[in-house]
Amino acid sequence: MDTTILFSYAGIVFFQAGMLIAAAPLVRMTIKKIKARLQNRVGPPLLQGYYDAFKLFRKESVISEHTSFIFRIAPWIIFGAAAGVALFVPVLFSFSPLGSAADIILIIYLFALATFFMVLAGLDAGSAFGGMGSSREVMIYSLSEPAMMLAIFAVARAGGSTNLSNIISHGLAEPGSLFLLSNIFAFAAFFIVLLAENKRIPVDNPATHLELTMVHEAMILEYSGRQLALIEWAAALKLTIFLVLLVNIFFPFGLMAEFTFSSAMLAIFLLVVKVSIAVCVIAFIENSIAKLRLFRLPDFLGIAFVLALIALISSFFV
Amino acid sequence: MGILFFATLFLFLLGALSGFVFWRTPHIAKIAAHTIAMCASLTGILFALSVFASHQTFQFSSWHLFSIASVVFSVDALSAFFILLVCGTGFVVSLYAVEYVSQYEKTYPMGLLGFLYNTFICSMVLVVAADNMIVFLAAWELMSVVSYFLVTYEYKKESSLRAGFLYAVMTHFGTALLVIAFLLLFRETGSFQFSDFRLQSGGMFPWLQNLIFILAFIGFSTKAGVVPHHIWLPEAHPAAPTHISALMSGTMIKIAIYGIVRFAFDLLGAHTVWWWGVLVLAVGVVSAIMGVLYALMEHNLKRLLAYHSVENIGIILIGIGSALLFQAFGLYTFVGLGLIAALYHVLNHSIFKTLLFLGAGSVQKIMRSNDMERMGGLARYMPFTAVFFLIGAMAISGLPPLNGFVSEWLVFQGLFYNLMIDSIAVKIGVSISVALLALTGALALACFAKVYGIVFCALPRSKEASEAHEAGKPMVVSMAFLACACVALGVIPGIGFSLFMPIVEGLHLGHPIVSSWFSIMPAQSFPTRISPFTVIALVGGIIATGMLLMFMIWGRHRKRSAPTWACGRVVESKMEYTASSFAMPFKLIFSGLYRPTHNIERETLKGSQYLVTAVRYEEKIEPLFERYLYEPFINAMIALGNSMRKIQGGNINVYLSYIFIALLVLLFVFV
Repeated sequence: MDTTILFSYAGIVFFQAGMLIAAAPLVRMTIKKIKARLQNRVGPPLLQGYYDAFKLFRKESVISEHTSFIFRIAPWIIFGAAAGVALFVPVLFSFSPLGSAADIILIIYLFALATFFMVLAGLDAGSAFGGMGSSREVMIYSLSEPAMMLAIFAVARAGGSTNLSNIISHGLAEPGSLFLLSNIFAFAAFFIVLLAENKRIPVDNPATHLELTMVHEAMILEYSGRQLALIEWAAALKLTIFLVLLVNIFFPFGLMAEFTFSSAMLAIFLLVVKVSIAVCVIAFIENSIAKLRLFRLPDFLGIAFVLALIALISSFFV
Repeated sequence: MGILFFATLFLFLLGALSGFVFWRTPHIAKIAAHTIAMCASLTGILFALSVFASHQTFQFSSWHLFSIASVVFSVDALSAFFILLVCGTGFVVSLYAVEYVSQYEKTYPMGLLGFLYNTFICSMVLVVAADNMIVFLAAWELMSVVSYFLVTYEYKKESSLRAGFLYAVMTHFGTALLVIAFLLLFRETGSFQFSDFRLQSGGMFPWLQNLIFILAFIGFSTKAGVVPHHIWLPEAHPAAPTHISALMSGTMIKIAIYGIVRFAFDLLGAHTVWWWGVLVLAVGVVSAIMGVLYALMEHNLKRLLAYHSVENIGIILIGIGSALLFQAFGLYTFVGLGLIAALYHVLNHSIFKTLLFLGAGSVQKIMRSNDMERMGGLARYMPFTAVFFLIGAMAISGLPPLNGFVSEWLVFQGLFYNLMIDSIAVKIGVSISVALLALTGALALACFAKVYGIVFCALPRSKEASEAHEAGKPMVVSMAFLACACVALGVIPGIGFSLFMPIVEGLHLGHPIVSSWFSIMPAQSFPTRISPFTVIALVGGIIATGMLLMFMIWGRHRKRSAPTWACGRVVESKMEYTASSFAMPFKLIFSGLYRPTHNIERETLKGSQYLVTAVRYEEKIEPLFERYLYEPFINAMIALGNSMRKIQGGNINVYLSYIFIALLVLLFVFV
């Protein structure tokens, strides 16, 4: 390959990934801020996520003496997996320069790798909270996985490939296909999975500190200092990546096929707008409904499953 | 090549004999039998590799009896692959056994174990090398019988004998169906040779082909432990010595997969009906999901692993079913995708399941129990075993960068391209399979998070666990071998493909896969491509960069050690989540399937309502298949037996008249 192309591709990959990683705490805090405004509170500053992280990075970690090596490596693997995914996701372009290294199934499984280590880390300290969080986490993960895979199959089918660049380019080339019944159902299913995978209301309450309702917070209870900051940043990054995937797969308008300065500006602007809309929707949902009881979740995720199944089956009748 | 083949057989025979020679000196018998088994396995590996290298089929036929060649071997790429599997696993397990079986030296005859062990591996080599139904069935029966004796090796335990009996019954049910299938083939072709079956199966009546396929499929799937024939696995695996469980789960049940592939794509390959694919796919999906659901509820480590074998055999069958669908609907260039996915999973499962069983054996040897609820915190006392078990657990959960991911990904790709089939009903079936396969994968992750988390993490739950220590060197080294293989096949999938391409070509099937050492493209005309190596290298790079950046900006990571926070109390192992509590949400969600019942007994002080001195908690899930499938069948058989007693008068004249009537009936029917 031409070296200039190689370098520009490397530049794209690292710029996009860097952008996602840098923006992640902001995205998470924006939801918090909007929620606060909706409740007539001032809310934290938008940059609070960075303040917290940088403070935690400086602090020492208190590590339980009952833990094993899992507890130490888990934050790095969780962060590494999420940041790795950021390299493979098309953000501003309709393709990902590294698309030939990872398709969407591999991306899902990289997140599964992070989930696996998060769950083990929850169990590792030997406290009942961690175990409780881990047990709930794998339950939610298991029930959202079939819906996720069906939704992926439904959107990937038209282009004949699970390659993300191919899915998005196909959507751009045939905009009509984006408004087919199958895509709309897949969108709904993917959105529910997004809420479940990122532990948002109604699946889990990110603001809770009541042991009996925690999932994510319970697993990371023993973490502190730099390790906690890494895990929190990775969680924010995962949410950001899911949002980018959601808007880019289902609303790929404005993504660049080639780099020009004006189209890059447009792509960045549209991405910010689309993600902001998604963020507002999540904030509104979190404000208007309560967290579901744990054992009502199978019904909620069952809805996602049925929607995804309808999406895939209706794609046969096009 | 022939030399290597017979050297392998000869060495196994020698190993078997050494068991008898050193009968009175168990220590020497142990070392001799397992060392010779290692040499034999190495020779077998060399033989299999030489078959791959020569691109030829190794053939051997010996003396002719009644003008029929009576001992016939033929090793093509498919057989060589399975020989590689058997001998590769055999080598590692033999190394492990040298240390592991010492615990039996005083209680059980070591010479017998050495004899059975070598014969067992040898019989598996013979089954896949056979090119003649007589040799095949003889080797198959040898494999079944020897494995029965291995299951009941700890014959002083009542439970082993019961498990062995169940295993013997189930396996002979399967063998009976296989014999019928082979006899039907013999009846049609007039030959015992596989080569004649292959040539003439196309000319048979379709219903006969279907019947043979069904019989062979049920017969082999009984051995493979497919639902609903799986009930022997969770009984036999815990009963057998652990290294035998590893061999049985890692290789023996794969021999049945060999049989299915041989029948479906080779012997009956000329003719594939759409519902063969649907049947195999459906059975595979049901096995996968049932296997993992029962595994989740199981807290006996070895039984849990046995249920996971049911699950993984299901995933393998999904691959085979997807290949059969391609074949039946004329997408010939895609057949290889499903088949390679299945074979890749065969290879991977035999590696990581062996690894997990060996890990479980090391734990069992130290804990003297398989009960997960008594374990905990073992990572601190047996760090190597923990790391290797973790790699196995990640591999079986299908996580990148390990081998399980690659094969599961290929199975998903096979199903994805199955959606090109021009039949709405099949497409809907495939969609449901996708959903259930995804659920299976996720539940497997949940289950292995449970296993690793409960066994190796947190605080020890019993005295034995807190006094645990690392397993002996040979055991650790053998697990290291397998863990390395898991990583290698995960990041360098080209190793696997260099084996599978000749197999698919040898069976004259098309395949759309383009692969290099580090990357896979499942279908050449579509842009899907993955490179697990690149992904993991990048993730590793990010982690390293991140660590370096943080070190440069904020300095060294300062750590302080303190006890786990337990709301101000001293943390105790009683506070931990147990395996049962971890799996509790699944028990509630799938209560329709499990139908759990529990029983709580409280002992109180002097009849007081509040002063509880002891609580006994017992819970059970309903064994669905045993209760609703096997029990009615067994009861019917007993009832039939009882009613037959009426005609057994004991008078010899009556029996003579029965014989006379039977003769008349036979004459009437057949003449």
